[in-house]
Amino acid sequence: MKKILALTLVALFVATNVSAVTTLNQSATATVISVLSIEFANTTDTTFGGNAIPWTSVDPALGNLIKATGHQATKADTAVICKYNGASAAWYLKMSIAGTLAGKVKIYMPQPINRNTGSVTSGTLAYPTPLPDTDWPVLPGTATTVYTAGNDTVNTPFGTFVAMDYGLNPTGMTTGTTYSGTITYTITTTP
Amino acid sequence: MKRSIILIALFLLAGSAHADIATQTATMQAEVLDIFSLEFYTDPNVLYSTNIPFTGIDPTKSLCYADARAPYDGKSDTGVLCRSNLNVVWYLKMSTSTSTPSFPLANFKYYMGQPWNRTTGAPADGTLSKPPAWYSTPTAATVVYTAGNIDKTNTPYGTLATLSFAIDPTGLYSGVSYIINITYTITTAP
Repeated sequence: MKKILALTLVALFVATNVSAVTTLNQSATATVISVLSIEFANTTDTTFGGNAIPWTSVDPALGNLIKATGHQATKADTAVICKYNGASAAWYLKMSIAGTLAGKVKIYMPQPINRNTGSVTSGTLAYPTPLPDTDWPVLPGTATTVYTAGNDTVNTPFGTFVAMDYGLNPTGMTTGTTYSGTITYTITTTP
Repeated sequence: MKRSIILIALFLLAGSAHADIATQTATMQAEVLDIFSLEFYTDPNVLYSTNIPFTGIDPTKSLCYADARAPYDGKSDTGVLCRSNLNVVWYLKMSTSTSTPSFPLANFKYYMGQPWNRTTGAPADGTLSKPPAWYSTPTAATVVYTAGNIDKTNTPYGTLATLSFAIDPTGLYSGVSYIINITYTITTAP
């Protein structure tokens, strides 16, 4: 009898200490719209933003690489922000210049920055960043890949910041003539 | 004198009849079933139950909300109703996983306010593990709410925990359907 009572007590004790658990499952599903965009950085981050880049009263005696008027050593002249979130391909930044300044404008591009991470990207510059006191490459007249995305292929939401400085080679430019040029920036998934 | 004696006798007789007491005792017994349950709750302000859709989110935003949601709209994505009459402290746990390998779970955020005790009609007296704010959802089952003293027996209407979710779209691809699985558990074991 004593034994039965003890067993009953043990059974009751065990029963009151069993954990109760109930579970519920839910899912969240997400799809993302496609983004392939390019825009100018603002004038806080660059000297000229999307505005015209001026060379006024150029002194041809200053050499074959004259910085834009108002150029600041602490900022890029201009920059484009490229955004892409496609799964299947890298993207390419192409540039070209048309107009009477074609063949006279040179470009300096530092390694772009992924604005999501704040770090330089692993993408490839077609024209490696010129070393100090060396000449800069001439901006091409036809759309040419200047940058191929690397670890910034998918870079939403904040995109890749591609900065540029421009230089002018005044060789052959005549006084009294106003020269102009239009630079076209293109982001594409076609090399 | 004779008349007086008769009246006194009648009075005594009546008095003794008035003092009669009949008592009956009824025994009642009530047995209540154990309740320990978890279920989804929806109403016009608590929108989703088994699936929370994020359709066509804009990857240029820093935080994307579920369909038909906007910041500070006074709504919640989902509600889980926890009922218990075990009179012991219970815990609401949550975990998430994904069947889409390219989805970084750290990008899936949740926001949980103080639950509501629907039986008392007042905020529940338990404790949120973290103050209300956006946090990455836990991958392992993690206590998000611990029942308070009143919560321990909250039948019949239970304690309602409402949650909202958001996705940080950083690094997400277009053209991919992402699936995140959320598991809620109510348990008496912390």
